[in-house]
Amino acid sequence: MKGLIYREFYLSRKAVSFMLLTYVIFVAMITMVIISTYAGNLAKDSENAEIRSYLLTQMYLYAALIGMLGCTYGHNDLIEKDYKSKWQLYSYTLPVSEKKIMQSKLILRTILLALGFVLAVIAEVIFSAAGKVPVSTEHIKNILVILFVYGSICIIDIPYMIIMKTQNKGVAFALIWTAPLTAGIMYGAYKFTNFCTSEAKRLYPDMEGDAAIMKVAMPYLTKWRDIFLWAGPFILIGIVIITYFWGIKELKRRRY
Amino acid sequence: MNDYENAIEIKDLTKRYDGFTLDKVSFNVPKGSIMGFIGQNGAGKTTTINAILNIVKKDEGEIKLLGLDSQKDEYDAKKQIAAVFDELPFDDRLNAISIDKILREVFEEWNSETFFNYLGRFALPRKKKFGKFSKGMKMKLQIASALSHNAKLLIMDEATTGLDPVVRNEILDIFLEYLQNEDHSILMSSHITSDLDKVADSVTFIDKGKVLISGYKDDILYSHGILKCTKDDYKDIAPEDIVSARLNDFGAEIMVTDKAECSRKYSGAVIDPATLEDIMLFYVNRGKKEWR
Repeated sequence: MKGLIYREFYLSRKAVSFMLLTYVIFVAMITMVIISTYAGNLAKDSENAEIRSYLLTQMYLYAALIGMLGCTYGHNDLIEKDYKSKWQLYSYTLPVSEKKIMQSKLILRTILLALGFVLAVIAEVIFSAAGKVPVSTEHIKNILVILFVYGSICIIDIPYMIIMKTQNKGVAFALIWTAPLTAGIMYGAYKFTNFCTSEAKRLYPDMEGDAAIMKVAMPYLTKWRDIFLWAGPFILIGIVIITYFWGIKELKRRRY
Repeated sequence: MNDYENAIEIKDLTKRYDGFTLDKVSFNVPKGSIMGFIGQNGAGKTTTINAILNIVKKDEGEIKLLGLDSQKDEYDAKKQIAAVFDELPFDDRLNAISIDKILREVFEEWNSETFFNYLGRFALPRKKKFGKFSKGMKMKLQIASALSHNAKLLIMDEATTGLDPVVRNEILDIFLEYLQNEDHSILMSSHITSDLDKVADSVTFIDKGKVLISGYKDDILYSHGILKCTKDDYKDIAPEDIVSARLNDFGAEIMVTDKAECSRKYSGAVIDPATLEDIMLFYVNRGKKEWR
């Protein structure tokens, strides 16, 4: 199995390296901008505190996405390339079981995902240090939410791609059933925003604009996030188990 | 260590697809020999090989590899088997060094020294990406990796197809060298019969999912012949002696299955030796009986 993991890593490493470079450039750039709000050109700006606050509350999310997507991107399209290069067929001639093949894919993807998570946390630590504020546990919780949601999609993508064979086909097919799901989420978000707006008018008539809406929305969002944080690990572990057995089944079915 | 007489034993192998059936295929590849597996495109060669390698699930029949059941003892058998396909199954971004690192963890008996010796012998670069290899280089690399884990059985599916004669000859020499060890055996599917004329000890000919001939190449070539005669004489040939006949403006060429008997029966007729290609051609057209 070590050989299979090495192969998957070797073939993913270039894409991972490029995305890591993107991550480093992004984090360095944002860090410099944050520092600049009190020690550089932006310090002269009257809204420098607002800019810094905006950067500190938003940019860690982008860094988390770049880190996690970047680390797993190179591995995501490997199954398609395995079909193209006939490795998929050749692997059946090796003294390696479907279990080992699935384990190697899962192990590497989990390692890459974990690496992405670590990078996301590092970005939060760097941004906080640059902004001279303590590391936010709320931000870490949000990063964990990204890990559980993206991680689940990223892991289940393995057997899905074994079936779909190409990314284009996979995306096209995914759109068929994600479109109504997205529509449902959008409708839910719309209804929730309406609710928050009306509640904001009723509860905080003196407050202006989005601040009142956010004041209404935040307790709900925080509560839902905290509930998800409890459920997230179980969902992710469940997805890993489902992926493992589903992947083995699909690999066996490839023996057409 | 299990003892076995035949490297491959196939009995009544059946696999049904919509529109094609591999119908009770049976043949043996004796240990220490090279068997040519011939047939036209779509005859069932690849399906048979995939069933041997357990890539295709057989519907019926028995397959034994090196004395082991191909399904129950799949992984034990596969440790001692190497498969070579018509295309390199390694990603274009890999190089020989990375393949060594991968396969030495996959095969218990992988020998890096042997692998790099083959690379040197084939003049293959170690660090060059496979994407930049020519077709001949890719095939040589595949053979180098197949021969580097002490495989006792080499299964090749159209491995020499698309290669130039120089590379093909070089590869055939390596196979003969590999067979110097009497424990080693090769099953080689090809529709380039001239390659098999050179190296095969035995031949199995498959057509439309059925084995038509299987046996030692010399016996097959000895028994088959092409009887040449005029159109008038052709009418006197007994139908049971004819596999099929190629007619031309001057007469007929008839494939006969018992050359010795036919030369006695039709004294005066010229019976030329048949090549594997002739045999394949005349058997493929056996349904038509007469063809041009």
